[in-house]
Amino acid sequence: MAGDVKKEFQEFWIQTAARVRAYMFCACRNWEDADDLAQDCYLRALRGWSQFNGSSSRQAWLFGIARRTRVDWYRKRKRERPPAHSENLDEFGWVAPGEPDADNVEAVWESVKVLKAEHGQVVHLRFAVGLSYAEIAQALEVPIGTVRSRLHRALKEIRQKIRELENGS
Amino acid sequence: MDRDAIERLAMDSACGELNEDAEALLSEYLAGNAEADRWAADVREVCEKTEAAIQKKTKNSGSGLEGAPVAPKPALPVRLWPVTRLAAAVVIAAFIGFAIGHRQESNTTYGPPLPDSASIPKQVRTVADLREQYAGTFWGDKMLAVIEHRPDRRHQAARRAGSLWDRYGKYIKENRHE
Repeated sequence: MAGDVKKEFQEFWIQTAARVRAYMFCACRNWEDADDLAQDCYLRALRGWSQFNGSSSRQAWLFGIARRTRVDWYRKRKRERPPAHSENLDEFGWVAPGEPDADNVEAVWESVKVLKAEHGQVVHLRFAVGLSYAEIAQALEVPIGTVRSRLHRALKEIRQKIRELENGS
Repeated sequence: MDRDAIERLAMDSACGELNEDAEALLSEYLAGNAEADRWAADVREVCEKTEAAIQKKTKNSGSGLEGAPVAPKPALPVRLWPVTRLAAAVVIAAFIGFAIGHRQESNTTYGPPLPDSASIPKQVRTVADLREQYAGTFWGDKMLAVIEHRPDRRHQAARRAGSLWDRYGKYIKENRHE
């Protein structure tokens, strides 16, 4: 690895690592797995570093890799741990725990957890990572219009879910 | 504008995706339309709550990585570690093997004891001895060429002597009276 590339990659890692971890945490919900996924993501990024063609931003490119890493992890996880029953499971096949708290954080978090995977991806990239619509579109390899539609639907679902939880509690 | 369009614009606004002109137009429209303003406020609130909840949930890493810009150490070592470990194991094994072998060699003698040089009979045959032995025999010239590692002479000798049949006839003739 040439010195310049190493330095460049290191700087990039410092700038983005926290957000990649947050994005991974949204999927696996524990920091240990999030760290493993983030590491895997950066290894992939390092291997493909020289192949980046500049058609998108580095950040969008990285989160495209992060998304694929997450998908691979999810598939592997699903193979290793098939869900015992289909009720009350989140998108990753886990039982959704927890009751909503007073400040709605848990309610919103629970609502985000039960979103469809494609809606959840957009929500995570927007609110956990802070990517723009264009960057999300590049990372997910979909048109910007699709990003807007998914985010809009996701927010509607979250709102609906929060209301249900608030009314129920 | 219908509710869906207002909500989408409010969402874009909350996500910072509207330019200044569009933002101004939306604000103007919402100022004159109470119902639309309520829809927009609803969407903004969901955006804010969602962002706040996700930020709160994903902030507490427990490893302090955010504050500590550490180089991505695992990148290369993880990939090279098995190779390095294997190489180290091979070197250690080779060293141990060499040490054991060397120690045994110094303590043990294999096979019969070697004779000392004085007891070796002088029966080593030199090329000169062999030349003397084979000169004038049936295969003499050719044999000497082989012994002396001179393939050119071997062929010369073969050509000079003629065919095998000629040489045989010559040999029989010379040795008839013996």
